Amino acid sequence: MLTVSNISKSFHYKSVLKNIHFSLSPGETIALIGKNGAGKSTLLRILAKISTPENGQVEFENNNILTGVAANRQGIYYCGHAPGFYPSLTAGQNLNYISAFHGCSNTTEKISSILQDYHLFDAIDEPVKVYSQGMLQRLKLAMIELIDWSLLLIDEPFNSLDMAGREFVKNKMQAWQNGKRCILFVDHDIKRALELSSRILLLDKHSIAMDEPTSSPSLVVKITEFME
Amino acid sequence: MSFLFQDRLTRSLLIITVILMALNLYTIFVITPMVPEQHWAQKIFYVHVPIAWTGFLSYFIVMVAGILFLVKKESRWDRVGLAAAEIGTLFVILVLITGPIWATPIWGRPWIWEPRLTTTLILFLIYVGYFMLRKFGGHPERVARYAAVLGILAFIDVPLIFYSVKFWAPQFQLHPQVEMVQQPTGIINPFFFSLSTFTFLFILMLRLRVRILNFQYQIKSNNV
Amino acid sequence: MFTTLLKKELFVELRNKEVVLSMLAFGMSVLLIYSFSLSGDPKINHEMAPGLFWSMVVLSSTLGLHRLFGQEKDFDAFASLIAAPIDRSTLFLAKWVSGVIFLTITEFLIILPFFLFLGLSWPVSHFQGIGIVLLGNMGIVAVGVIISGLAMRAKMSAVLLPVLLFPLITPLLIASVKATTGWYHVIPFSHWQFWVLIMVTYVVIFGLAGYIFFDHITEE
Repeated sequence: MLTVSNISKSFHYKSVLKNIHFSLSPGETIALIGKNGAGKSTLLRILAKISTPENGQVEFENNNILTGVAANRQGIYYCGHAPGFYPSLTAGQNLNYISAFHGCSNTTEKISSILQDYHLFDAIDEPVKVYSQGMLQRLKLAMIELIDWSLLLIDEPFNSLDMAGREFVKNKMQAWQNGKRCILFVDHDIKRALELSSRILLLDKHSIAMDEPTSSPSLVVKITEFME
Repeated sequence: MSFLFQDRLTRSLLIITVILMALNLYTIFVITPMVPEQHWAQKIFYVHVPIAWTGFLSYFIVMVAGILFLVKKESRWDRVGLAAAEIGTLFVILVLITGPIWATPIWGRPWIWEPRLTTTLILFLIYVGYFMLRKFGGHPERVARYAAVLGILAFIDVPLIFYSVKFWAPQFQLHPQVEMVQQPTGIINPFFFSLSTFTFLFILMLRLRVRILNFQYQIKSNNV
Repeated sequence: MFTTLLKKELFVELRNKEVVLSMLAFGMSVLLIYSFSLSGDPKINHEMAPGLFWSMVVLSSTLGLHRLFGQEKDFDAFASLIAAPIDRSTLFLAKWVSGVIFLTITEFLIILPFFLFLGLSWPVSHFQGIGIVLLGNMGIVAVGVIISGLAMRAKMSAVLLPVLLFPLITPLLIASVKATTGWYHVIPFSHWQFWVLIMVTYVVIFGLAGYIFFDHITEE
């Protein structure tokens, strides 16, 4: 589904990513882990074509997404660290426009139903600039339900959520995986990452230091050694 | 310093440029005829126009390097563009200094919105912005792309700037233009010699500056 | 997709009115400065009116252009926009058209005070004048969107924008003033058609430049 070849990226002449190679297949849920500053968010932003790498190639469904036409990125949805919404628009308006950018049209009823599901219906008419961090995080996740994606890139989905919220998102992530989609997510909680994913990609010293299935024996020990 | 002149081509270029410049200065001060009405002031012409030519050539190189950087995505083209921008701006500042020095005795006033000089001034202001963008635009990898786009926009604006200024206020721009084709050989030959000399100087300066920038880049990118 | 993007730009502006209001407020301040800085002689104001109008438009446009991307920077909505499978050139076109609309609305709101405060006579014909103003707006916004995109992530972006923009639009400014003078002072078109040609050339060149280069300036 996704093939990443030889991706390198620097900031202020310092290498953040060096010769990154990996592939993703349908049905996989992959956790991208690593220390702070390892380049996890940068990698996701490159795959979403928000950031330009110095070299390398990314192919999605055998189409080049870095230099090809915009339509080659149809099916990829990026959910980043920042809210990614228009602060003066309401939740419903934001969901409407952003799903339209991805070529999806959703009825008002569907949007209302999703917002209810994510406990945001009461604030439906408020501009998102008044939302709390937790509400913004839930809104970002609600957005995912409205896009017809086959590859989800999600950066720290459990940020700013209380215990109930985190449980809710865990269940959602398991429900999203239908065997044909691929989810690549960043998480700092190793235990949770191992629980949710079928494969681990560990970024260390600017490259993929580990690429193993979660069923691999003594994986936790290996990861702990790296992280220390 | 030795790494700057480590290869034969650069050393040869340096020697040729020094010799040419020495000959050029001798030609300007000793050989060229004294124009009756303008006397010594006229001799600035042999320096002012070649410097202007070199400045515009530099900015043309900035545009070409910008295009090559965006197409090939090789950082060396960004360094060529930056070097050419620096040299071009230096020469353009000299044009803006020598122009009014020449204009005062010839046209009676230091500044009269002459189209070529005005175009030079506007390009200089664009490049003030270019260097501000380089400094404040963010991390160098991103700024390289931005600077490439700006360098291209700046040069494609040049003909528009020139023609709009040329026809802007003709009543204030009446002045004798130096028409090259009408000049005698005693003036035109030294002029073209000076033009060639400054072109060699530009090539040498560009080569040296790119070498320094490449060296700086190697140091910074290896210092992880 | 262009229609969706344009609708979004217009709708966001309708909600917060940042672009038009900032340009309008600044334009009115500039107009006030002109009113007190000039001698007050209607004849001189009549002579200088086209230059005063366009300098006011150029100065106020910087605030609007800054906010055109500024509102997408706040919650990183810009990342959502460029991560979507949208052709970046289409994004440029949407920003360009919406910018022209906002600038034209601002001019429409400020034109009456402009004539009143400077004691100017109302022009005889309108269509040519509207055409010149639209052409000028298209040129300013085409370059403005590119420069605003460059400056958006920079430090001192509010300073960088006018420093980069003003020298680049010099030919357009000269041509707009000359064409407006020709129209406002009822000079035959043949005397100022050259300046309209310069304006059209400028709009075409920089419109194309924005269409081609916008992709390179949207990414981090």
